[in-house]
Formats: sequence, structure tokens, C-alpha cells
Amino acid sequence: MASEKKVVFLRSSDGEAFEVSEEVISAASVTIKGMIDEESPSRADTAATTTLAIPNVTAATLSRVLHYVNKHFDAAAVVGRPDDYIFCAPGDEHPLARFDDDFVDVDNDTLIDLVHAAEYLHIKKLFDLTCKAVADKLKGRTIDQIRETFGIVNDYTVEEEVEVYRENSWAF
Amino acid sequence: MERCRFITNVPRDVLTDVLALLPPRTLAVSRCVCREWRDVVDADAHCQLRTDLLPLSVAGIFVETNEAEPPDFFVRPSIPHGQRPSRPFSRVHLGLLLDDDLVVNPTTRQWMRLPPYPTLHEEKQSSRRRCHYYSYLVFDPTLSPYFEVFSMESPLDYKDELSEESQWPPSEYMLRVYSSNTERSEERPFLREEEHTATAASVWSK
Repeated sequence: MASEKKVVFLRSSDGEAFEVSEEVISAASVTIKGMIDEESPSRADTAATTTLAIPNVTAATLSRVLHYVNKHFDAAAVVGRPDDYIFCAPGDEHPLARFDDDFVDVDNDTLIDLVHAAEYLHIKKLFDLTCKAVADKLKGRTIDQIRETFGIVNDYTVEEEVEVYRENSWAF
Repeated sequence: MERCRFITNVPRDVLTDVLALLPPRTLAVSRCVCREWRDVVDADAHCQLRTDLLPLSVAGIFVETNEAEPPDFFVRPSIPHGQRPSRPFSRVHLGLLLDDDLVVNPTTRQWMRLPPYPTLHEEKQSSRRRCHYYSYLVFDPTLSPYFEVFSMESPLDYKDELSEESQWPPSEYMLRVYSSNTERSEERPFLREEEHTATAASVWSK
């Protein structure tokens, strides 16, 4: 086989195509690995590159996701550094902790889009990271602040609201 | 207001994953946000709000050694003196305290006064002077967020009706039970499962 480094193109819902190493994205995304495996027989002998449609993810989100994926799953970038960093000395910061912190330091809509994308693409590490970031945004907030932050409509009836407030009033 | 974007777009199991990461207090707040969040919190074992509904750490315990004297309060030295209760409470149960007709949650500093006891049976009431009640708080946050207060009459109050050989407690015994869920008192019959253990006379003599 001539090509050592295969690439695939991912086309976002709004039509933009992104190039990514097949090896890297296969390691990261269960969903895309499945798509590539399905495609494999038909393209085994062709040099044509594959373009996969990602209908649920916009270009803005997809580019962020690929930024994360390249940082976390590119074998060349993590040489000498096992993926889960279990060999870090105690007290050492996770080498990508800073990157992760900055990565989820975004506005709520962007963060929720990332949660959706990570869920759809089945990238567990990214999903865990973004879920935790959402949870962190909830901590210490009041009921009204949570509703406002996430645009949630209070759909309780007056009676239900009285009831649920009473049950949980110890917390606020 | 923006549409309920998070709720409408996120599958329920994603919401569950997010809420499962929350500490109990935030979880309880989240439960009040909207119906779906409440349902997720209540339905999912990972969230486990029920078991954490009230802080279960024990700050100190009261030990009653002599009924005539107030109980001693044992506490870790780390608790500043000012935070100790200024007067001892009579009965303690898993985070809630019952003191006469007050139910107190020392953690949240909330309290409520129990409603006055309704008269049981009018005719009984008139035939008897003052009833003496012993109240017991029943509360297990792992089972229910509500508490109940059981009120028992003293066997001394039955002196007119009981003979010395009468069994005590009676095989069927009406207790007055206040429920914080219904916010009402009701009479609830209790059946004695054991063979009778004492007679009225032996209780009176104590």
C-alpha cells in the first residue's frame, strides 16, 4: 500500500469539509470509525479519499471537535505519553489539563453544541469533559439562574412548584 | 426567552449524565428547575438524590443519662462553641430534631412548629383531664423526604378505663401520626405483634 497516512474528509451540516487523519479520528470517534469500516470494501483499491457527511454537527463545532481530537488522539503528538497519562507522577498535572480547561471555557451554546457533537460522534473523553463543564456551570447556581443560563422554561403548575420547592428547600 | 434548547435537544440520558455529576445540594436545586429535570433526578439511580436528600453527617449526639437532667451534648472539638445548640433538644433523628412541638433541621436552620394536637374523641376527651403525650420523630431520608411524628398517650391516662390486669400496650393501639407530607395529623391503628408483655399495673408501678 502506497499511502502510509490516510486521511478522510468530514463534511459538516453546513457543507464545510475538514481533513483529518483516518487513524486519529478512528481512535477518537466510535461513530466515524463505524462509517469508515462500512466504506472500506468499496474503496480498498482506489486512491480516492473518502468524504463522510456529519449532518448533525456544524462547521464551527466540528472544527473545535477536531482541534480536541488532534490534541488528544494524534499518536505522533502523544509519543512517549500514554493516552491516559496513568504514569504521571502523583501531584503532576494532567499534561492536557490546561488545554482541556481552555477548551471548555466557552459560552453556553458552544458548550452544549460540543456535548451534542461528542455524543453523536461517540467521543467518550470529550463527552465526559463537556458534561463535567456543564455540571460545573450548574454548581452553586439558584433555580432562576439555571433556568436563565440554559433557557429552560418553568413548566411546573403552581401546585407542583410549591411541592417541589418544599421538598428541596433545604438546599436553597 | 430563548427556547428550551438544552432540554429539547439533549437526549434524556445525556441530561442524566450531566446531573449525575452534581453534588446533592445542586441536584436538589436542579430538581426545581422543570419537570423533566425533576423526573431525571428522581428516576435515575446515578443521581441518587434520595439518599442524599439531607446531610447525613452527624455533628454531635445527645445522650440522655438521667431524665431529670438535661441531656449532654457530645460534639467534636472542631465545632466552634457558638454553633452548639444553646439548649439541648429532647430527641434526635438523622439530621432532624424534635423539641416539644418544634421540628428543627440544624443544618439548614429551618424549623417548623407542629400543629396543635387535634382532640381525639370528644367524649373521651371530656371524661379525661389532661393527656400526656410522648412524641417520637420518625424520619429516614433514604426512604422519604418527609418525616412523621408519632404521639403516644401515657398509660397513666387510661387509669380509669383499664384494670390492673389489662394488657399493655393494648392489642390494637391508636397512635396519632403527624405527616409532613400531608401536613395533617391522623389516627393510625397499630396492631401488637408480640404476645402481651406487660400489664397495666406493671407499667403504672414503674
